[in-house]
Amino acid sequence: MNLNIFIQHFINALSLGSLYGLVAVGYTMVYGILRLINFAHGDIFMLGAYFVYFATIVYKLPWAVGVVLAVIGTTICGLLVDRIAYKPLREAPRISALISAIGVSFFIENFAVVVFTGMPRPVVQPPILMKPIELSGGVRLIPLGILVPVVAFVLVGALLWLLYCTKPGLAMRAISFDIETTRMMGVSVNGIIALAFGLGSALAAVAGIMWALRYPRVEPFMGMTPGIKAFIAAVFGGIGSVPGAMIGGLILGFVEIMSVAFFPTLSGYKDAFAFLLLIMILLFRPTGLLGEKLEDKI
Amino acid sequence: MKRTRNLLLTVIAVVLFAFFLDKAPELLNGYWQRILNLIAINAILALSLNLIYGITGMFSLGHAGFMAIGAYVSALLVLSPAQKNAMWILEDIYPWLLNVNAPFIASIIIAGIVAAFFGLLVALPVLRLGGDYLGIATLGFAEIIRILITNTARLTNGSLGLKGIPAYTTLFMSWGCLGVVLLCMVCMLRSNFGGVLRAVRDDEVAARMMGINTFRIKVIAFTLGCFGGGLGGALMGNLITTIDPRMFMITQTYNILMIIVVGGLGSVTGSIIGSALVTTMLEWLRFVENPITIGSINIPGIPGMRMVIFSLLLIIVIIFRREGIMGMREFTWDIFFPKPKPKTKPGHEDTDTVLEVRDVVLKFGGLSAIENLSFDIKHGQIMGLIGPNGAGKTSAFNVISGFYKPTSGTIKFMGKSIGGLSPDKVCREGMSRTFQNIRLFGHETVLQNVMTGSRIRQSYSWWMTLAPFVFSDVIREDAAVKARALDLLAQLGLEEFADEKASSLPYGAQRRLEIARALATRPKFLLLDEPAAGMNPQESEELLKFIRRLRDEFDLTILLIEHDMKVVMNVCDYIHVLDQGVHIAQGTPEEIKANPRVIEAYLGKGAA
Amino acid sequence: MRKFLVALVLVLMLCVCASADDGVIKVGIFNCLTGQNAFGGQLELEGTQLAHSLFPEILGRKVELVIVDNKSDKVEAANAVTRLIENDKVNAIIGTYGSSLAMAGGEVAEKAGIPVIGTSCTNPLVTLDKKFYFRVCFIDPFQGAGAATYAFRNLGLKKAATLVDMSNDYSVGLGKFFRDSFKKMGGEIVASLFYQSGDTDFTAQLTALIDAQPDIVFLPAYFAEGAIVLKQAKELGAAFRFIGADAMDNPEIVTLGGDAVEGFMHTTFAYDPSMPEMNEVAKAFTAAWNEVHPDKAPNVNCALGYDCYIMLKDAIERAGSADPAKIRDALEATRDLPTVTGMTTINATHDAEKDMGIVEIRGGKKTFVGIVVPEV
Repeated sequence: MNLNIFIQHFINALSLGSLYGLVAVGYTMVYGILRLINFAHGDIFMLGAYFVYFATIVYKLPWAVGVVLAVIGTTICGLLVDRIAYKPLREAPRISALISAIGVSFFIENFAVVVFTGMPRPVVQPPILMKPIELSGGVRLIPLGILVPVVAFVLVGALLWLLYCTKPGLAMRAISFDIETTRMMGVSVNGIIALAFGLGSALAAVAGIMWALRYPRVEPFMGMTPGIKAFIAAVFGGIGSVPGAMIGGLILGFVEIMSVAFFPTLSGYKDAFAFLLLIMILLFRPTGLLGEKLEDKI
Repeated sequence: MKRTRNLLLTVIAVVLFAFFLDKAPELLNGYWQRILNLIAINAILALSLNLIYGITGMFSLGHAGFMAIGAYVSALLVLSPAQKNAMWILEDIYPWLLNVNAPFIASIIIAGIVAAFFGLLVALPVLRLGGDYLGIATLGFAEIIRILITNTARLTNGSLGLKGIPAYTTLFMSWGCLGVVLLCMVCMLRSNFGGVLRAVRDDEVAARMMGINTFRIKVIAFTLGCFGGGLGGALMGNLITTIDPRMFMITQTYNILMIIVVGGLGSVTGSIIGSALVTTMLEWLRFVENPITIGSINIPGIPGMRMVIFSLLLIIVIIFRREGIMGMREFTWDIFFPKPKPKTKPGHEDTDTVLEVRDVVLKFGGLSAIENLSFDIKHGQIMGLIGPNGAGKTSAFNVISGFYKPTSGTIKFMGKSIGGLSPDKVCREGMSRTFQNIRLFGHETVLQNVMTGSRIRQSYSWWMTLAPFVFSDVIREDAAVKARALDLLAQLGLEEFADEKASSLPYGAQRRLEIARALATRPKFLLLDEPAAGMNPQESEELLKFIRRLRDEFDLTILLIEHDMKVVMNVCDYIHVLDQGVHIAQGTPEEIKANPRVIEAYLGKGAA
Repeated sequence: MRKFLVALVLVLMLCVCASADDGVIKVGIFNCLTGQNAFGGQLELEGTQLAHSLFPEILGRKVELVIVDNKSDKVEAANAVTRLIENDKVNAIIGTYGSSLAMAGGEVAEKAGIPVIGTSCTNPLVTLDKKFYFRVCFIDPFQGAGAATYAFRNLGLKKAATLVDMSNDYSVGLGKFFRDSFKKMGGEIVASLFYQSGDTDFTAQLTALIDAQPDIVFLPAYFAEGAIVLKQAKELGAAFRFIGADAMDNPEIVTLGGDAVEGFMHTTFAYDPSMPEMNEVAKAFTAAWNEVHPDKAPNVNCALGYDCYIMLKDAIERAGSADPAKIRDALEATRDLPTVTGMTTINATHDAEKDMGIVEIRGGKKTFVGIVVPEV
C-alpha cells in the first residue's frame, strides 16, 4: 500500500467514523438521561431518511426545506414513541422498557414495509456536494465527505454547550443522576425527558439524512445495521458520554476501514475485528473510554 | 401432604400430556405439530436465557451465538459423509470432519456441551462487566461466533449453510428435552443453590458477604444457560432441517428475550407460557395477511401487517403488564386450593484476640480514607467505632470485611491474615456483617434470605441440585438448613414473616432480618453498620438488649458503627474514635465521654 | 401445565381452517413479502399474480392462489410451507426468492410429496437430492461461468477481481464460480474482497481494489447494494468496469445509481423489456404487465414469477390432473417450453436449462446486449 492509497483510506475512515459518531451521539443522549437502550433509535433514523425522500423526491421540495421538515417530522415521531411506549414504563423495571423498545423497533420497521413497501428508494444528492475534489496522487475527496465530520463536530459542540451551559442541560444531567431528587427540586421532569428524547430523535434525523446522502438509498431496514453499530460506538466511548460516543464512532470507522486496508484477504472478518476491539476495551475499561466509573456503594 | 398432592397432580398432568403427544400425529396436522415442536424448543431457549438473565441477573444478548454453535455441532454430527460430500460445493470439507458421526441423542448433548464450553470461555473474561456493558459484550461474542461460522467454510460450509439434516426432532424428543431441562431447573431452583442464584441477582454485594463467590456462581449459571442455548439450537436445526449463519442474528436473541419478559422474568412457568403464547401468536396472526371476507366486504391481505400487529400487541402487553404474565411468581397447584395456615417449629451453636488491625492505610488515588488504624478486639467484646460523618468508619468496615484491599498494613482474624482476601473468603473464615443501607435480597422470601446465608456451610456441589433424587444430600442438607433458618427467625422474632417478601417487611424487621441472615453464615465475629439508624428511642432501647443477647446466645464478638451515642455508650465495652481517617482516641465509654479531642471532632474546634 | 393445555386447546380451536374445495386447484405461494428480501419476493408475487389473472382456469377448473409470507426467515419459510400443505391442502407450490428459504421450505414439501417450483433460488443445493423441487431459473455455477466468459472472451479483459457479500450464499457461490472459470480460461484474479449484508460503506474495499488495478470487477450483489457500490466507485474515481449477475436486474438500479451505473453490465435471464426480438410469451407478458402496472417496468423477477405459473399450468395440462404426484412427473418431463425467459427445459437435477442474456446500462437505460454461452 502506498501513501496515497493510505491517505484515501484515512479520508474514507474519517467520513464513515463521523457518521457512526453522529448516530451514536443520539443514542447516548437518550441513554444518558433515561438509562434506556433505545433499540428503536435506528428505526427513527430510518424515518428521518424517508422523510427526506418524500420531501425531495416525491414532493419535489428544495433540499434545505426537505431537511428541516424531515427533522421536525422525525422529532414528532420520536416524541410520540416516547409518549406511547416509554413514558408509561418510567417506573417499571428497565427490561420492560427495553422490550417495549424492541417492540417499537419491530413496529416501525414493519409499518414502513406496509406503507413504503420493501423496495429501496433513491435519494437526491445535491450535485455541489458530490463533485469530487482531486487531491495529489489520485486521492479523491467529495465535499460531502468533509460536510459529514463538520456537521458531526458542530452538533457535538452544540450538545455539549446545551448540557453544560444551559438550565435545561443542567436539569438533564440532574435527572440522569437522580430522577427523584430532581423532581423534588421543582424541575418538570417529564418536560425535560421529552426535550431529551426530542433532541435524540432530531439527532437521529440528522444522522439519517447524512447517511442517506452518503449512501443514497432508503429502505425500511436501513436503520438496523447503523443502529447496532451506533450502539457499539456508544459503548466504546462509555454510554451516556456525548464526546465518548463521537470518539467511539470514529474508532469504529477506523477499525472497519483499516482492517480491510491492511488485511484485504480478511475483509470477511471486518465486523469481528470491531467487536473484538470493543470487548478488549471493555475488559480494560469496563465502562468504556469516557464512561463514568460505576462504584457500587456499600 | 401438600407436597404429595402437588407431586401427584404434576405426575397426572405429565402423563396426560404424554398421552396427548402420543396421539398428536392423529389429532393434529403437521402444521400444528411443528408449532408444538417450536413451542418446546422456544421454551428450552427461554428457560436457559431466563436462568442467565431472569434468575441470576446477567444481561446477556448473546444467546443466538450459542444456539448457532449447538445447531452446527449437532448437524455436523448427524449428517452422513455422503451428504457432507455433496454439500461442500465451494470449499473442500476438512477430511477429518467427513467421517465424524454420532447418534442424534449424543449429538444434541455434545452440542450443549460444546456451547457450554464456549459459554465458559466467554464468561471468564466478560462476566466481570456489569449491566448493559455485559449485554453489548455478549452481543459482540455472538456476532463474532456468527462471523467465524460464515468465514470458516471448510468447517461450516460458510454462508451456504447446511441442509438435509435428518428431522430427528419429534414431538417426544422436543418435549422430552424440555421435560428434562425443566425438571433439572426446577430442582436446582428449589434447592438452596437456586436461592443463592437469586441472591446474586438481587444484591451481589450482600451475597458476597454471605460467603458466596459470586463470580463463580455467575460463571456456573452462564455456562449452564449456554448449555440450554446449544441444546435448543441443536433441536431447532434438526426440526428445520437446514441451518445457515443468518438464522442466528440478534433478532433471534430478541425473540427469546421477548418470550421471557412476556412470560415473566425469573419465572420458570412464565417462560413456558410465554413461549406458547408468542409462538402461537406469531403463527395465528398470519390470517391478517390473507384476504379476509366479512359478509360482502373483501379486505385484501397486506404483507407485513402481521408483524405490525404483533409488535403492537407486544408493546401493549408490556405497558399494561410490565412484569410479564407471571411476574416473578410461579404457577403452583396451590392456587386451586385454599392456603393453609403457616406453622413454625422451634433448636442452636473460639483465641483470645479475635481481630487484630495493625497500621492499616487505605487510599483512593491521592486521598487517604484511613490513616494508620490499629486496634485489637478480644473474644466476647462489643466494640464501638464512632466518629463524625466522613470519618472513615464504613471504609474501615469495608477493609476488614474484604470489599477494599488495604493500601498497606495487616489485618489478622483469629490469628490468620485476611488483608486483601475477597469478602466471600473473609466470610468463610467466620466473619459476617450488615450494611448501613440495608441490603436484603428483596425479591426473595424472608426464609430464603436466611437460607442463602447458610449456603457456605453446606457441602453439596451445585451440579447435584440438577438431580436431587440421585444426590439425596441436597434434600437432607436443604432440610437441615431450612430448620436452622426457621430457628434463627424464631429467635429473632421474625417467624411470622417467614414466607413474606423481604422487601415488604417493616424497617425494624428488615434490620433484624439482615442480622439473622448474617448469623446464618455461623460467624464468630459480627460487624454491624449503624444498626440503630432510623429507629425511634424505644426501638433503640430494644436494640441494646438485642445486641447483648446476640453476643451471649451466639457466642459472638461484635464491632459496631453507630451514630446514636446512647446506644454506643450503653452497649459497648470499648470505643475507638476516628476523625477524617485518623484514629484519634480510644477507651471505655466513660473515658471517651470526657475526651476533649472527641468533643472537638464532633462539635468543632473551640467547643471543648 | 393444565392452564397451558387449556390455552393450547383454545388456540387450536380458534385456528381451524376451512377444508379444501374439490373443484378448485389450489396453488400455494411462499415468498418473502416482508423482511430483508421483500423487494424481490414482492416482484415475483406480482408476476405470478399477473399470470393467474390471465389464466385463471386450468383444465376448466378454477385456480386459487394461497399466498403466505416467509418473512425472509428460514424458520418461517418451513412453517409457511407446512401451513400451505397441511392447512390449505395446496396441489402445488411456487416459491421463493432466496435459496436458503427454498431449502427450508423444500424439506417440508419433499416429505409431504407436494411439487414446488422455485422462482429465483439459484443455489445448486436447492434441488440436490430433491424429487419434488424444480426451478425455472438456471443455477449459480452456470451464471458465474457466463459472466467470466463474457468478460474474458467477448470483452477481452485479462485481470479480474471479485467483491463478494460473505454472508450471502448466492454471492459467495457466484464469486467462486466466476474466479474458477476466469482462471481456467487463462485470466488472472488480482484481488478478492468481501463485505457483509447490511454494509453500506464499501470505500475500504473499493480503495483496495483500486490499489490492485484489475480490468474488471465481478460484483454478484443485490441491486440495492450494487448501486451503492457503483456510486462509491465513481466517487473514488475507479478506472475498472463492473459486471454483475441476475440479482442486479431491477429497473430501480438506474434510479438508485444514477449516472454511476452507466456502462455496468450483468448477466441475467434472457428477458428484458428492451429486448429486440421477443418470443410470443414474452410479448404477451410485457403487454399484460404494462397494462396492470403502467408506472413500472417489468424485470426478470416478475418474469420468473410469471414463468413458474406458466410451467405449472403446462405440467397440469399435460398430466391432465391436479394430483401432486402427477404434476411432479409432468414437471420433470418439461422440454422446450416457451416461457418469458426463453425456452425452458428441466434437466436431470431439476434445474432449468435456458439461455443467458447480458444487459448493459447505456444512456441510463437497460439495454439487452445479447446471449452468452458460458464455457462451463
